[in-house]
Amino acid sequence: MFLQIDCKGHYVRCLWVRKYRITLVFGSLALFSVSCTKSSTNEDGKTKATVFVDQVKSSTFREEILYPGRVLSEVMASVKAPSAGRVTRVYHHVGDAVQRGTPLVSIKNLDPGFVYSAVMVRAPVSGRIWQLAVTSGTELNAGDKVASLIDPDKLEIRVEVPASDLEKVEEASDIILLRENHENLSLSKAHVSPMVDLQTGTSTCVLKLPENSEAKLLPGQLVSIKILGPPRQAITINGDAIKYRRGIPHVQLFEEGSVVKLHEVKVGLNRGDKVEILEGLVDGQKVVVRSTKYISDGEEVVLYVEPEVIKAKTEKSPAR
Amino acid sequence: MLEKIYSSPLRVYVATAIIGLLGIALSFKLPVSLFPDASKAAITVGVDPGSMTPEMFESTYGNTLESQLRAINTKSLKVEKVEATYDTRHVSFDVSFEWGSDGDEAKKEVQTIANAFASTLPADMRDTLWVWRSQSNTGFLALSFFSEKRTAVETYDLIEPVLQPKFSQVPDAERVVLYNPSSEQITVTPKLLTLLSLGIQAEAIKTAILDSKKSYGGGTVKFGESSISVVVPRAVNGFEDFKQLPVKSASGKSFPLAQLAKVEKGPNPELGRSFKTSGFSSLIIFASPKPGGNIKRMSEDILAIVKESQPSFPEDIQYKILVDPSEFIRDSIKNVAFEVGLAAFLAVFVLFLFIGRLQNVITAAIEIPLSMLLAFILMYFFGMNLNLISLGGLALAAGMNVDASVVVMENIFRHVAENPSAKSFKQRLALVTLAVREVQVPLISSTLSSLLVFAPLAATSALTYAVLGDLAKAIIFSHGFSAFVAIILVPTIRLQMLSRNSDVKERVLIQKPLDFFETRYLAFLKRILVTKALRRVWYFGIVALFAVGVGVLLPSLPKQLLGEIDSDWLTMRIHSQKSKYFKEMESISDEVENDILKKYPDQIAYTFMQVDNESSSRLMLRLKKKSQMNTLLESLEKDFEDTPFVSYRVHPWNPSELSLPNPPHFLVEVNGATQSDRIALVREMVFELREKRLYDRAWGQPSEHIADALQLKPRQELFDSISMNSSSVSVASLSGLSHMISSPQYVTSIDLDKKDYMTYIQFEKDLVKHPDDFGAFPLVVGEKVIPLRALFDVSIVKDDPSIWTFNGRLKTELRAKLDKKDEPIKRERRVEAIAHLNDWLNSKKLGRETGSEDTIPYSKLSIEFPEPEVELKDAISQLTTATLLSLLMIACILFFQFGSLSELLVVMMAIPFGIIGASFSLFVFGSYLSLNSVLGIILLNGISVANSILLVDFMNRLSREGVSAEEAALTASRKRLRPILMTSLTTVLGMMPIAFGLGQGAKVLQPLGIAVSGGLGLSMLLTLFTVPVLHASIISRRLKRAKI
Repeated sequence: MFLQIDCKGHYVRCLWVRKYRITLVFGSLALFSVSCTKSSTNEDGKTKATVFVDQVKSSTFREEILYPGRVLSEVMASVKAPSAGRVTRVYHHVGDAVQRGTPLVSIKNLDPGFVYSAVMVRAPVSGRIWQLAVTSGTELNAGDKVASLIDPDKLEIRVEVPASDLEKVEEASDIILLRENHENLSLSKAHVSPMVDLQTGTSTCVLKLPENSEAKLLPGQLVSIKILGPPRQAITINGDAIKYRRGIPHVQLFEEGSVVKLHEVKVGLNRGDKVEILEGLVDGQKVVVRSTKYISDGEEVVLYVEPEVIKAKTEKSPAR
Repeated sequence: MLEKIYSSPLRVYVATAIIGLLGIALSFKLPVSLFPDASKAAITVGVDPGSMTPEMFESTYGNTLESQLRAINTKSLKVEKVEATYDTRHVSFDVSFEWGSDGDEAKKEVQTIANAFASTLPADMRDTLWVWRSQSNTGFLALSFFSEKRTAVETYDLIEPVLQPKFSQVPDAERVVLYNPSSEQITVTPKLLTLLSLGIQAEAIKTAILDSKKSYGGGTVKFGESSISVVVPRAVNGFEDFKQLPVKSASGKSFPLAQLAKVEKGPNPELGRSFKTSGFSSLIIFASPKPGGNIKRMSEDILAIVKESQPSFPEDIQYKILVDPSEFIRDSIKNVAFEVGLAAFLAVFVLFLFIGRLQNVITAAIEIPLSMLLAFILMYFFGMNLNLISLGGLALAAGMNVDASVVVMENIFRHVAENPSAKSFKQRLALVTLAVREVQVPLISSTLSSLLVFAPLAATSALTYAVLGDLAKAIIFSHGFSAFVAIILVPTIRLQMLSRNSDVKERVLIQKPLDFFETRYLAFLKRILVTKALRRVWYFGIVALFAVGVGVLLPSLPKQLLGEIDSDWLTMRIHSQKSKYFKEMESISDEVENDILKKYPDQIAYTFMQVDNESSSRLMLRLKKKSQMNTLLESLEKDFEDTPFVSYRVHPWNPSELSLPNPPHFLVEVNGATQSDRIALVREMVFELREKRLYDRAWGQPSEHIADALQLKPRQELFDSISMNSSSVSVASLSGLSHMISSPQYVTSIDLDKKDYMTYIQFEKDLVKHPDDFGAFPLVVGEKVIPLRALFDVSIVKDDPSIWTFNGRLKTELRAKLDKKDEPIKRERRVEAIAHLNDWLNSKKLGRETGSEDTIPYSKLSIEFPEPEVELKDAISQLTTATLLSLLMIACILFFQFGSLSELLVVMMAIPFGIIGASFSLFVFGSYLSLNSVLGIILLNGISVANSILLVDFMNRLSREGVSAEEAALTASRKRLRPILMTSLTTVLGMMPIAFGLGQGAKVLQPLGIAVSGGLGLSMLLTLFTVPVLHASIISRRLKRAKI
């Protein structure tokens, strides 16, 4: 049907132009699309980072040091045999409460030359028997251990403090006994040994439990003690907000217009996830704790608002 | 010889049928996989350096092992590279072998070396030495088992004994695990303070548990005829016994375990991984293939085992296939196989349009399936498999294969038409034989030359060969056969047809449009021949096109090794900074899963969720339709935006097997000064790149992060006196400290109440919340309890910097990558980054002199910018070399044929035309410069010269007969137009389905299809117009010279 057109030359040119035009259209379309994709990526079409910020707060900050301690009784009496002989009778069992002067055991000297009357060994203090080293029939030399008494109602805690820490313990304003599943107890400092043990490099510190404390502690038990330094006003922020640049601590300040600025700070002590800032921040400033991506200096960001629904759910979830 | 063959058609048919049937039978036996069976073994040796610094370990031990590993060289194993990373905590040696190396053998070899190396290490390090295969495979098979009536534990007890032993026999599987999500474990949580006050070390609990497993045999006692064996039963048989397990203290006293530790039985959420299928918790079978293993075969084996065992389970136990890579692979292969069929059909369709008569079409078309079946036979014996690449080769060959038959048939037609008097069988036989003899030599040589083009491929790198070897082999096998089919089978059929029916003339169906095209073509050709100005414009236009194509378009194409495959799986990785507990992570993921299922019920078929630990989980989404991938991906990315606490990463996932290199986009090598200075510079540059928004993802190799280390420095003077007096305090006993914060430690599996329990020791999680707490760790010295701080200086220090060596050379690098969407501008970005870093370092060097506070000695450091994508660049440049070599080979062959340099050049003109076409079509269709497209160009070289050979040859013949140059050009063009159109269009149309990239899997071959069909199409057109004109001018000049 094309053959019906009777002007060959014209048609050839036409075809040629048409073909040319198709190539043109194709080519320009392709170029256009390529240039389009390039411009859209070149432009900083990246989405803004979302940030979670923390308010800089001035609050009381206290230095904390942990120590292991051992619970001991104020009264720890050991009873020894006054003379050699055989135990004829034991009057009490382990755990029995005894009054001062109560007979514990009687000992009869076995000297074949003489007949002695039995010697009564009595409790030197009131307390409870926690160790009984003899049974009736045990033969003893003078000075052998017979029994140990303690007073479980009069307890104290001993902490070994390294010489380097002694000053801090002296200054301590609060001493706390940390307990699992119970409320922590506040202790008071009673005595500090004036000399450092040559073997361990520590000096013994004796801590008193509060009066009428119902704490169920057993003598000999190991406990954790927290010594708190005197309270002082300090600026603290979330530890995750500290970013190191060239080894120097910085924070990213969230400023007006949702712009983030890098700012150098001086870091003091840290406790848990909180860090004390010695220099560089003031009350009320906002620092970036987390962000969805890297933020360069002066970049604009979006503030993260935790959705209420998710909040409720995530709080509930660990219970599941 | 030929006459003999043609005169006994039955023999030919029987032989053809036998070969065909063999081909069909073997084609079913050919293993199917997604990619060629090319594996790249990678083995890692790991060791714990104890207290040695990275530098010390490297110089004392690492050096030796590295050089030993580098020296591995057996018949089938070649080491490609050895990388070693020395860290304060861990040292690893990664040995990568070249493509095609066997993983099992590689591991054996490395293990032998590692064993010898281990004997030189101190005992404590020796125990930590470990050799494993680096798993680069991402594919896996997942099945879920569930029952409405039974609990997961009951179901597990029923199916585990049946399935697990069978799974161990699956050859391609590295690991098949039947994971029981509610399996019970025994967790022992020691009470640390109690242990300490009793002088018991944590290690003693472990020993006690291990001892409880012992049972003693007492031999046998004979009582007359009968003998009785004496058995001392295990003391611990039930859970209650276990709780009372005696643990010895240092002083020899025994304490029951329950007094020293919390002993619990039940699922341990901290250890578990949780699986859910569309919301139901279930038992999971998880299988991953060995590196280089056939994932499809593995999946099929496992599914067969499950299917076969199913009847032996109670009816209520059901299973569901969650992730089946074999299905995906089957689909992809089916798709490409369909494309091969479509290619064949289109080629036949073109023939039909040109030849018209169905009989004749079939005679020529029989070539296609037959040479394919013959190729299957060879593929079977060469141990190849059916994969995207080899099938692509067959699709490519389909269009080319008919050419030989067409040539033979044409010649037979011509002879029959010229000799209408030949009526007897004998005469015809002679005629047909003559017709075949005339063309057999050019036929075989042109087939050979188009195959020879692939020869230089063998010289390319292992990577190129591994990926493209199958394509080349498939083409060679099937195309190589086509010449023989054309010479033997086609004439036999032809001869028989002649005997039955003499009317075998062509009946062109598209006569009218063809005539139309012919007249326009000749008219335009004439104008070019006559008008000098137009000729000049035409030449100029072609040169310009070539310049644009090769100089502008080709370099601007994005590079890629191999295209990605479409998938119907999406994965979403959820990472939460906030959640502390496993259950919390589970509920976060649950919520995401619910939201997605609710919002996209029409797009998502089902989901599969896996919670890995308390902070990360994986959600896999199976799409209903592949086509929805991109829209769903986009809307998911919009729906789940990162928050400062939870991040979501969504990407398509496919269970492919080929691990191609994944190089960074930017590379900086740092030299000079000390290792810590180099690392410090890398760290600064990482900041600089991020700050200037050049690369968001930048990292150091070795890592630029220097971890904090808790240093416990013994106060030696005190320590000596104490350790003499007290046995409970020693450096060794402090190793227990590290366990306090680490994860649960597996001890053993123990049989209690006739059930197997895994036993773990785990310290309380919150025991040490802060590094400072270490200082308060209690040590018992005699009567006193002293804090660890008294004996040690506790401080947090920076670790020693890590070291990285590459093939024995110490290197420090910065690597950076762009987001996927920014990849098109990676080259510009790299130039920008190089300029910026150079400026930055120079200004720092100047700053140093003016007394800045920086501690990094910038002036001693230097940076270089090596090419990052070396492997891809090497592969493509090697392919380019291969292309040039193949061009040289074609030139040689042509020179022998024509014996004249000018004619050789005219014929070779078709090649730049092909390259113009390929670069334009790749550019217009937004395709890649990949291994495939370069291979397409190589192939193009071979095919496109055929057209110009036909024209030049014919014109030479005419000019020898005394025809004028212009007349010869026009006549040759007219006479050769149809054969050229026919052979080119069969190939072009045959490649069309692949060029359009229909169906999954096809995307891999798309660049090849585009390059070949676009290139050949344009090459054909340009050849038709240019070659006659050029050659005419050569002839006329030659004639003029002859006259003079």
